[in-house]
This record gives sequence, C-alpha cells and structure tokens, in this order.
Amino acid sequence: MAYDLRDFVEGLRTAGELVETDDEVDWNYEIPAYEVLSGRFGGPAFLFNNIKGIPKGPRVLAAPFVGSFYRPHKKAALALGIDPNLDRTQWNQELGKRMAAMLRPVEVSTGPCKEVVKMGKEVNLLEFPFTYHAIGDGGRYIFISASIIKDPDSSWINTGNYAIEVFSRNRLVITPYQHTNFLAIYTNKYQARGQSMPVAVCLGGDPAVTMSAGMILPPGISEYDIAGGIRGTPMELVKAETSDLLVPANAEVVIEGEIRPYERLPEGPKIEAFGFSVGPRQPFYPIRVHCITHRKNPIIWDLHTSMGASSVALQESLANIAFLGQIKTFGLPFKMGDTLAPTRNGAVGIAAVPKKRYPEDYPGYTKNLYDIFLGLPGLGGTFGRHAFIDDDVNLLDLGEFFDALFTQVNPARDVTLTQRFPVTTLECSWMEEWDRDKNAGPGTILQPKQFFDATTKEEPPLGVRRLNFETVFPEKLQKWVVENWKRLGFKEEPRWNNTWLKAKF
Amino acid sequence: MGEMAKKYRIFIPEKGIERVKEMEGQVSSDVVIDEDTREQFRAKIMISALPQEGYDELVIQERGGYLPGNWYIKVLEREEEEEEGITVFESMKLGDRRGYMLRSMMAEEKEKEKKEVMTSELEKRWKQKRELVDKLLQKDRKKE
Repeated sequence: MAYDLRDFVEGLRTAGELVETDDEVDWNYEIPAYEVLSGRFGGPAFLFNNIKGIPKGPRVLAAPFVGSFYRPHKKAALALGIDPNLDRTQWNQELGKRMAAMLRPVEVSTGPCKEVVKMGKEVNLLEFPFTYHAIGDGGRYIFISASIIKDPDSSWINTGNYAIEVFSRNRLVITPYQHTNFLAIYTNKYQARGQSMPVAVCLGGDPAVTMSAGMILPPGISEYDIAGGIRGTPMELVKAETSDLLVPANAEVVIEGEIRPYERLPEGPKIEAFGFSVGPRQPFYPIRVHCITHRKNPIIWDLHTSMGASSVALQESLANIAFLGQIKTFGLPFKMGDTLAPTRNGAVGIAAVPKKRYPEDYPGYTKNLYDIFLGLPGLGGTFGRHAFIDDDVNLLDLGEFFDALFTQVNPARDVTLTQRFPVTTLECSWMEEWDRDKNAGPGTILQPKQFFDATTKEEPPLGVRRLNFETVFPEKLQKWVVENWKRLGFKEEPRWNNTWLKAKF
Repeated sequence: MGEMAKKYRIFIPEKGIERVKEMEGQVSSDVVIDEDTREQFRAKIMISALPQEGYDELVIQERGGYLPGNWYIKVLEREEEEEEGITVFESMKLGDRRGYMLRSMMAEEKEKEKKEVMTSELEKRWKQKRELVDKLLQKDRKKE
C-alpha cells in the first residue's frame, strides 16, 4: 500500500507534532491564523475536523510543514522517513542521494481518489474548505497541490506547485511564473497550436509528489520519477476521468479541467511564497473545471506563507536541492544555490556559491560564470537580486551569508546593476508604478537586475578568510568543545557547521 | 430601508477614485467578490456613495488598501457564462510525436486538408446524383 497524506497525519501524531480538534473553526481567516502562530515557534500541525459552513466530511490539515530556520525540513523529513534531526546540509545530501535514484511510476486501474466522482454541473469548488488567508486577498487560495500537465510532443509529464485562486464554483485561476516548465508547455505548445491544455490539480496523496512538484527541475524530467526516488518506491498513478493525464491514485482530491488558449481571468492580490502580498490584480490562466474526484471525507491540506509557516519551511527545505539539480544538469562549477526567502532575511534573491577560487582561469572568468547563472531560467533568470559568496560560507546559515555580504562587498566595485530583463512580480512589494506599466507577461515585469559579488577578492595574508568557529580553531579543538557542550550545562544545541565545509553534493 | 444583508468587494486600478466617480449611478460590468463565500463573478452593477433601497454594502479595494468612506452596490444581473459541455480530451499515445514533432504536425495538417477536399468532392457528387435522380423522376411523372 502506497504512502499517502493520511499516513503523514498519523506520522505527525506519533511524533507529537499534531493537534486534532472537533471544535468548529472557520475557513475564513481562522484556520490560517493558527498556522501563522505555529510558524512563530516551529510549532505543531493541526487537523480540523469541523469546518464552519461545510457539511461534515472534508477536513483541513493546516501547518503540515512548519519548521524552524535551522531545521525547516523537520516535518518534511517525517513524511519521507528521514531522520528529522539531520542538519540542513545533511538533509540536502540525503535528499540529493534519493533524487538521483529516480524511479518511474506505475499505472494502476483505480484508486481511492475515485471514491466520489462529480462531473459537469455537480462540480462545486466552494463545497471544499479552501481557506481565505489574509486581509486584501483576492479570493480563497490553494497553496499546496500538484498540477499535472503533459507535453504534447513526448512522454514528459510535468508536475508543479503553484498558487491557485478559487475563483468560483467551477473556475480556478493558476499562476505559474515565467521560469516554469508549465508555461513552456502551455504557451509554446498548446496555446501556439490553438489547443486547450488538459490539467489536473491534485491535493494530497504521497507528500513526495507535492514536494517534488515544488522543485524547479530541468525540462524533460518528470517529478513523478523524482518522487519515486525520494520515497524509494514507484508512485501509483491512475488515469484522470476527462483526459489521459495520470494522477496519484491515492490523492485526496483531483480537480480536472482545461486551460483554453489566450483565456485569462483577474487574479490576486495574494500572499506569496516569499512572504508578502503580491498585487495588483493580474491576468492569469483560468482552469475551467469539468470534474472533481475525491476520497470520502477528504483531507484538504493548507499552507500559509508567513514567517516560519509551511510554505517558507518547504521553500527552505527544497529550493537548494532543486537548484543543485539545475547546477548538475548544466555542469556549472557551483557548490549550491538558494532562494532567499524574505520572511527570514528581508530580501528576495538568489544566492550562489561558485566553487572556483582565485586566480581566475582567464580575466573575466568569474563574470562569465555569473552571467550564465543569472541567465538560466531555473537559477537566477527570473529574479532581480542575486549574491555570490565563497564556498566556505554556509549558504544555509543566514548569519554567515550576511557576514560575507557586508564584509566582502565594496559598493563601488562589487555591486552591478544590469539593463532591464523580465523578472517575476514576486518583487512587486517594492516596485514602482512605472515598473508595473511595463508588464512583460502574466506575473512578469521588466526591470534591472542587481547582483552583489560577496566572494573574497584576494587571499588574506594569514590564510583565514573569516572569523568563524570552524575557521579560526583547529578541528580537534572544535570537536572537543562541541562534545563538552552539553556536559557543561548548555541546553541550546551547538550549531557546528563543519558538515557544510565537508559537504560534497 | 431594509437591513443590508450582503457585502461585496470590487477592485479598481491605482488612484481609481476618478473611475469610481464615473461609475457612480451608472450601470457597469465588473468582477465582484461575494465577501461571505469569497466567490467571484462578473455582474452588471451600480455603485453609490449613499445608502439606497436595494443596495448592499461595498468595499472598494485599490493597491495598498481600501478606498475610504462608505460605499454601496446593487448587483443588477449576474452574468452567467454560457452552458458548456464537459471537455473530454482524446487520448494520445505517449511519445507519439517524440522526435517527429514537425513531421507529425505537417502530416496532421495534410490529413485535415484531405478530409476537406474529400468532403467538398463528395458533396459535389451527391448534388450531381440528386439532380440526376430528380430528372429521372420528372421523366417518369411525364410518362404517367
């Protein structure tokens, strides 16, 4: 029997990470509010069994991935049977190892997701307790799902996790940004041919599918294969009712529909995965919903994007490994890349760690390297701000990151402002009116990119680049102090970053 | 005046107060949000800065916040979309076009053209046949 969302709920319960209640709660603000508070201290997940205005049946799992900055993957690890006590570097290494061992999915004849089938006029999205997350939002939103589409020219099935607005009883509005494979398939293939694109939005099932859907993977790679790798068993898929798309057989809810060429509906504003509200309303892609299949008493999982809440914790758990996939695919000499979530550090941007040390292979080598990184859609291509740091700076520790940013950057030399490129409107919390007038497409504006070269420009005379616990003391002594830490009565865990220095990805 | 039971919200562009003034007292079409269900729909509406019979409460949202003051709305007619059938997508064998995208698309186009030619040709023949049959029938009638 394949692992599914209900197994995850039981796993959370066993680990003492779940609060379940039959008290009535409201999908309108209240459920998200519990998650936001839980996110402040890496708190529990919630299973709400009684939702105001919703006939008994659907339940809501909120805050499923809430975690702390140093261990954002705590609950994701539980879902995958990985030790939740691994540090971020070890977590990424383990995940990377599993992802490399991709497993193709298997097709089965039917599954629990077909327990209830509703077609045509029976379809009513408002029967489900999709939540309303924040003041000013344009509607209710689904922030965690796997949207399945298929490349019409090959066997490539693409799965993505996008913000989806619940527009009406039978309309969703999906918001894939320009760097996604979703748009590459829809815009360049279906729309170009004047054809509708079938799409299936899947909630629940094996969390491995949704986690893989949240990664930016190179074109041609199916997230189902990746999910099979990280789970260690193939995903079980079943044919959708209105198309030949393959959906997870044990999904809680599958929403089937089509996106017609050139059709758009107003979407937003909404709270975004990086921690602020994105607006104004933009024209995005409506899904005409024709069929909903679901399990009996389905569990709708729900994310919030505030500080420490599930969306941010997931981003911090999975973005690095997705970047690593891109870096490996293109054979770039970088150790790691990362999306910097502003809810933790106040800036939207991409940081990367070039492996190359000075002297350069040729004058301008590093500049060329940066240009490649900034241009690739899955890496820096769609964001406005970027930073490059040395490979001995732990990208997964913001303290070290900021130390490098403020000590190694000469504002006159190391800050570059480019000409305008299309970047995502994720940055629109600060964009000016003239920026918004230059919409290059849904979710895209034209604006300059800025990057900071925070790498060491020359080797320091004594050979110590920075004053960290890991760089100023001999390793033997570091080990001694760490081992004595608890014996000396300290309750807080010592964060020994030697795993990053030794890490090879 | 009866109690206002419903509350709606509409969005306007930045610095849209001029737009709101234009809309006041006029019938316009806009996407409206039902604040109880958060459902969105397009409707013919009228808005007003003063409470009136048959009007509900309205929130007008622009970038960065809500328009100050009290606003009221009358939803005259919900613009329902035309009835639509369920689109069922024909299944295409996985990998049908793998590596032959251009060739297979050209073949598809040719096939379509062929069908059109065949259809018009058949129609022509059917007309000729019909005419022949009519002539024969007329001859028979004359004989009778």
